[in-house]
Amino acid sequence: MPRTSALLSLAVIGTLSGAGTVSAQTTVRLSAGATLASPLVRDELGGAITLQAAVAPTISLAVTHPVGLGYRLVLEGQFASSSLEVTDNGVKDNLGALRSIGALLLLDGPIRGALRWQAGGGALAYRPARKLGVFADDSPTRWLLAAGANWSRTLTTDMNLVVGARYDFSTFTTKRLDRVGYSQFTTVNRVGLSAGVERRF
Amino acid sequence: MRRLLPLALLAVAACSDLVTPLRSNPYEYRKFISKGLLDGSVDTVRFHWPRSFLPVRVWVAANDPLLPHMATAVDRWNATFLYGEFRATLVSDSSAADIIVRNVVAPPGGEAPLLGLEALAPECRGETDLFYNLSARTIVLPIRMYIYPRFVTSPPGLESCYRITATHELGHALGLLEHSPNASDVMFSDPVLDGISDRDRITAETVYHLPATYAPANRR
Repeated sequence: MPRTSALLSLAVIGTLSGAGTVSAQTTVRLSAGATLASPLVRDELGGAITLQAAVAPTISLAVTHPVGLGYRLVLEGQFASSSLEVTDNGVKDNLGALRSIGALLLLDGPIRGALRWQAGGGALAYRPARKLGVFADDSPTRWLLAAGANWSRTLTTDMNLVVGARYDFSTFTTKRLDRVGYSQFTTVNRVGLSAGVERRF
Repeated sequence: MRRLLPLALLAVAACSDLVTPLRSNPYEYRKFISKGLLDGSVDTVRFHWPRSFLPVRVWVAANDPLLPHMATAVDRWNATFLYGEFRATLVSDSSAADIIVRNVVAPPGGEAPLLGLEALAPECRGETDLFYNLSARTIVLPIRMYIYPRFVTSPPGLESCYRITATHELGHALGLLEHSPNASDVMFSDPVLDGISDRDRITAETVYHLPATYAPANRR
């Protein structure tokens, strides 16, 4: 993880200063978008209950590095922040902010022209603002699998516009749920759309 | 067929859900009040705070020794519910409080109809007074809570008695209107549990997931 942080820091410095400190074919991409997630918990207590993150504004920073034959390795960090919403027997309530931090390692390959696929995995850490309810005992970190596609268009000699769509899934449970007898896990499906700029080095 | 197997496994994994536990039976939490002396009929009081009232505002005087114990009680009950069904917060302005907690002996009941719910422990005593309006089927705010020492001097164990009694009385104020028959629950009439048991939690969950017959009113 410290190595990841160092690489991401290097990428940020590189992006901001425009200095070509990374190898010539490496790119750094900064994107913004939104992530829609399926419920974290579905329950039945006198009526249906769902606990779900609202649509989350998301920013991501990715470093890509060619690995030959047109493929690239992508190291990406994501940050999303929205509210944790519960729908309890039809009544909606806001339980405070829920942030998620993702770290992914993806393989990126060509589809056709400027369209490329991405697939890989990583970890997703939930960071609720309040230690309440299902998050009373911990802020879990879960593995995730992800796949998506990116389309890019050249803006300048060393900058691209990149538009992407991403799907990922991970499992969800918490120590609190486990402690009160819930077993197994919920699969959380997320879909994200983003747009950003990519700088080539 | 073999190519489809990973996709089928992926589809199953992508749709799985938590398995909810079997919940044991709650203890009696409803209060039965007499509707009239002549016909002898009773009304069932089931009360919980609607989500639109959350967080419930609890006031204790800033210099009151009860304050840290009430904060513990609030934290405990807040953490008990999985889906934020009940959330309370301490406030500094008593005029904006839904629950007023005082470290004095409860005054004798007057003309207004009230549910006086007590806790009896060796070192301290607690009472939660919920004034109700039978015709409107409302609990009139603020709810008043009294927690006080039983002796003039501070006996050993008073601090823990305050903590247990504050948790017990807040349990009444959130809707557990009766006492548990089990001594290992904090809602037992003479509580000794310094916390909230699974039975307390399951009963409180039940209170918040069944329709209430009384609603809070006169919020300031």
